[in-house]
Amino acid sequence: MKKHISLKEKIINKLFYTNTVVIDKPGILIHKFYVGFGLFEIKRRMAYFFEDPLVDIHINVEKKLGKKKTEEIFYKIGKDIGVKFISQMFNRKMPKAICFTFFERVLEKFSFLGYSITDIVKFDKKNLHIVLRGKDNIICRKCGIGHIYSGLLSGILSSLLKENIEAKKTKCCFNSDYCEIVIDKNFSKEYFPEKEMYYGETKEYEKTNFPEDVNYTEKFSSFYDLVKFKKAFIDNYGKYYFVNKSIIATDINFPSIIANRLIYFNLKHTVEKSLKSSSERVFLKVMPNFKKQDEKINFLKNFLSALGWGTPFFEKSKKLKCTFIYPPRSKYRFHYFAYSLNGFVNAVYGRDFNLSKIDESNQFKTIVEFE
Amino acid sequence: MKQNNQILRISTGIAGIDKMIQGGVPRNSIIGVSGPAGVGKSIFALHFILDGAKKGEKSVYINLEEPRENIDRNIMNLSFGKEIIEFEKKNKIKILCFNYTDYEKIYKDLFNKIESDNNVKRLVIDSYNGFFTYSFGISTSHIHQKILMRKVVNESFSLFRKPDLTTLLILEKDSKFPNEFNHIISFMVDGKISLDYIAFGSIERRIFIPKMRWTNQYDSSLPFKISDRGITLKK
Repeated sequence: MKKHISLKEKIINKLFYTNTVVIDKPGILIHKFYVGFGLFEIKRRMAYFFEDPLVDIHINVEKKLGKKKTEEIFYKIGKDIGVKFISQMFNRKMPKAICFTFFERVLEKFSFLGYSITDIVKFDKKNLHIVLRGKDNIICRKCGIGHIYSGLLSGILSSLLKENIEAKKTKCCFNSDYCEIVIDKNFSKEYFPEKEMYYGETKEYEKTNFPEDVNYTEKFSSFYDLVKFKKAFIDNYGKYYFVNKSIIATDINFPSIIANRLIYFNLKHTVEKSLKSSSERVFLKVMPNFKKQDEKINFLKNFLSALGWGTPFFEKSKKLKCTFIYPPRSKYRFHYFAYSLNGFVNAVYGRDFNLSKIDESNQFKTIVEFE
Repeated sequence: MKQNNQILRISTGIAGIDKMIQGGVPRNSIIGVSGPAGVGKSIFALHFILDGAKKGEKSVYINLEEPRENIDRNIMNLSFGKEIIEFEKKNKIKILCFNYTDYEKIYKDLFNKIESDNNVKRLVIDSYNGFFTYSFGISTSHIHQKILMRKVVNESFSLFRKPDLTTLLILEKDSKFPNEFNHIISFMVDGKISLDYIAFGSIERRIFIPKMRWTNQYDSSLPFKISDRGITLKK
């Protein structure tokens, strides 16, 4: 049944969250959308990531710290991401009515991106009590640890309303028919994200992530090429797959924030180990059975380019050096990408490399070295 | 020629591709064949003209990209290369090679000749957009350039619109060609056949048919390979 959209909602749609334009070039994936009746352009550098390594991080952190502490940490990380998500777009306080409508649009967007199939079953705007139910929440759908998503929603709503609102995951589809997240202003205040999450992007972000006049010295693939050549597809629920493994399109800041914050919580070794081993496992499942090394390297290069990680070039002598041209540049650093890449190169070369260096000194190049 | 829903069709010379478009391209149409360098567009053109010659139709192949020696080398690498040469001797196939400068001087006369020769049923221009970049330059920011470009494209299309003439325009897929030009061509051709490849470890080629007027074309792409037999669709 077609949902009736009121005039007020139509106007709000035009003000915020209009159609997203996707710029998909080899190595570079950009989402552009227009707010303020098309007057203001917002550009975000995006990339694709396998979901399994993110899931593995959750599982391994839980093994190390226990369920309660893990839930707490990932809720905080989700909330940081939620706040960042809004602050990247606008920083002014909006009337509550607009905030709520915008919040609903965001949920639709997440559904479109394959993050979640959640419906709002209760929306008491006066008392600020929201109940969401559904399933297929990102990461939670694979391991039952879903607090990053409830944190994300808390961060988004808190940032919109300029008021700290907490969320709780009250049911999980791993042991119930559905997942349930409750957002309520009366929940005790658990976490206030770091101040810098509220800051927008620097000029550096613009310059390094949206290069003009990109020239390619060889043929690399874009994500669209993967879809055209039936290597990637979207299922009926909006989930993306590369071969048979789920991938997620996300703002480059978000996995970087995950890695960065876990390092801050003294979990560097856990993150590095999880990402490396999980990425290697998942890459071995998607890489065809090539006999020649060159074919494997070519596959990896085009795969990374199609995911929007920049265009990579590999050199192997005593060390393995990978140079990304026009890579995604986040102030939260390149660790997430580098640890994942470690797993991929292990799969390609059939040996255990260790990350030795990440060099981001050049504006348009990131060099990652392995020994 | 096959008749389907009263649209007469011309075979492309490649059986698998004909199946994707109800037996062939519509007769008298102008079809764009696009793709990156090296994907097989010129080989596609050779299949097309050979098929015409086999059916007693005179075909003209105008090549603006390579000298005659290179064309001959490409032809002789194909298992059907000798057939093409034989038909050329019998005047069923005419292969003309020009550089852009010479072509610019003579193209109107050439098309007048083609128009007056009722035996010419198939025409290939390889490549069509290469010539336009030469004539107009890469930048079309000036409005005068844009208007002129449209005018010349319209003029050349009217030369191709001759009864009983089916034209293949080979289009290089390259970011150096101005977008406006690509949009005009996409709009004006009756059909578009797109050859593309992905180098994902090994090279995979696919054929896409995003547009074919008066045709219920295949809605998905198909893989193909290139060998000494030319272009063959994979099962």
